[in-house]
Amino acid sequence: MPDDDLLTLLLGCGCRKRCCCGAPDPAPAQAATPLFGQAPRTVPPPRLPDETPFIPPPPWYATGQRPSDFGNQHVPRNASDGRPLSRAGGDDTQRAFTLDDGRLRSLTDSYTVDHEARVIRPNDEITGIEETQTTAPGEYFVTGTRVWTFISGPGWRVPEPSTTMSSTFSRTYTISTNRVIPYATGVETSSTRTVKHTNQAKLIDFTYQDQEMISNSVAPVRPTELRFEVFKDSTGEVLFKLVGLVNRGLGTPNEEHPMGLGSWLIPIPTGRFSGGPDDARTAYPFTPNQIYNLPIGERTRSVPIQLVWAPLETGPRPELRSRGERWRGPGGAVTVQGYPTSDHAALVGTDILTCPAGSWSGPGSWAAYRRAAGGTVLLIEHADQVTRVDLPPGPDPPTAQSVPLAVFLAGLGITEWRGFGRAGPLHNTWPPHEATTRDSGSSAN
Amino acid sequence: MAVTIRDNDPWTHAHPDEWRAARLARQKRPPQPDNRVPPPPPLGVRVTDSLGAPLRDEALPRGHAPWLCPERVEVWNGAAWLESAAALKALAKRSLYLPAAWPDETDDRTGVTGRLRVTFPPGPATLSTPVRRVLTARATVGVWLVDAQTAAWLVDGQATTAYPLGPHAPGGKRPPRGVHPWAIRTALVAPPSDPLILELDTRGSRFSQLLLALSGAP
Repeated sequence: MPDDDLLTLLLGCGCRKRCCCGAPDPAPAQAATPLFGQAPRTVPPPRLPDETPFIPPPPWYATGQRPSDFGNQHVPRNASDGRPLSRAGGDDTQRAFTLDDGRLRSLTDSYTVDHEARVIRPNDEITGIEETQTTAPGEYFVTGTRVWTFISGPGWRVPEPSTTMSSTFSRTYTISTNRVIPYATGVETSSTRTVKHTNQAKLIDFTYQDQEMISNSVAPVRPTELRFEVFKDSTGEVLFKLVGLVNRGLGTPNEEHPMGLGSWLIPIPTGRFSGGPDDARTAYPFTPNQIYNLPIGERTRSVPIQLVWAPLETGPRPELRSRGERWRGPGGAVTVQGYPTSDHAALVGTDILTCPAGSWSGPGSWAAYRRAAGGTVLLIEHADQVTRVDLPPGPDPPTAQSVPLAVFLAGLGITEWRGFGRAGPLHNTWPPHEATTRDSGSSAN
Repeated sequence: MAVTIRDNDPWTHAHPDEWRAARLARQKRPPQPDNRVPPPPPLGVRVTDSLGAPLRDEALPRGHAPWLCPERVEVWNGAAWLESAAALKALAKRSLYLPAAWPDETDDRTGVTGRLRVTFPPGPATLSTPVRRVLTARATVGVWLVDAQTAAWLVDGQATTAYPLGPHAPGGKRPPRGVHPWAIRTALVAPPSDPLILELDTRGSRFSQLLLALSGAP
């Protein structure tokens, strides 16, 4: 029937494959002959599989989140808005750096970092203090400060000591120096030096005076004897008093009368002196209850009593920190000048960060990370500005660009700002994968 | 809130809201190719993750990435395990970690599905504390457990908790169709210094990357 043929021609059998109709495959069509001299129609190029219409390829979603949290147990995850879940931490006061084999080595001191030599140089450290007191024969040697301040107080006439005696008080510092911890081994090597501070004893001539004689109407009487009493209380403080034996002529002959009271703190070295009451020589500069005969010469004031005295203060401790290059990157491209510290991300005081793009001085903080196109990126916060310094690996010149800190924080959605974090400058591989900021409770040195 | 900062890559980091804003802001005609991507943040850097205060640097050996790549993959063909080099090549793709010189080998055109037995090499000897192991993967969403709000993957026959990552994946909801990065919290507890063999049932998802993280889950 012509209608069926027409329908079959228009609709087909419902299948687009030619073979299911049972009819033999038709011979391939001849190439179209040019009609009116036209060129044959060109076949459009086949579509690539991923350009197939109506079947778009599945989209790819990448992440910038790290798989770990600096060694803490952590699974990265997103908040309900698709941004990284905000987490807050405690404190980054743990002073540690990572050795080449991944072990953590904690360091409580200040140190300098040299990524070129791949070592950490801890600061010099005082490992021992020894106090030695050398008493020359025939000298009553007194050390300490409070005896001096007491003697030089009102009521006593003490000239400035000028005569140097041969007794000495010295304090010897044993210092571990040239300390080096390589990243490769983590084994510290050091050498030892000693610094000795010596105080030469001086002669003190002083006279005493009956305290009551100054204010009372009682006629001043010279004591006939003077006793120097020294005793130690439970805290180790040594008290002393001068007790004079006076006769005021009031019917009570030979009354004992305090001439002055005072105390001074005897240093009790923990290693050398057990603190027992029998060790009189160390604890008491005078023999307890030692009685001095009173020289009879003046009416209200004694003749000079001579003490050999040396202060316990031997001046400030030896200076262990020296200003210099406190951080050095590979090849010396990035250096920080300053005092050794344990917080190398902070720029404090007069620290100066130097890189091929310029110099920045503290206060502020800095961080670094690997540039996506190779090289290093430094982020330097300084004077309410954040500067990005690109250090490309090749011959390209370094570049620097700055934005105000407020713009930087607003653009990155950072709500609280405490500077860049300590993680990174100390790792065994520098620059690190990313820069970190500081969290709450962080303590800068 | 401490954050990590890296170079901005709009294709990796930009949030859908930023793409939308850039699309609305650009001129209608003529189209400027530069206007397609969202404008970069200040200084061209981007907050890539939020973290608790970094107590210190990671306890990684020098030049070591925080992941382990699989070294052997066997595929279950219904009767036996067959070692498959193609499956290993599809799964052992590295992620960007520059201190270890790991490039970004993201390529989701090859992937594996089905039951897999994956062998991971031992990690650094210093990480000998047993931790709950975490897998980093790239996979399609597949079967989504509505009640558990996670993908239905099984590791060693036990259920896992998978967190979709990336700026397009809202936490706790089924992410949009496509290949996502995932953090998979498994039930395995083992020290990272030991080698690990695990069986993964993908349950209809197609995995195009599977790495074992060295740090565990709390």
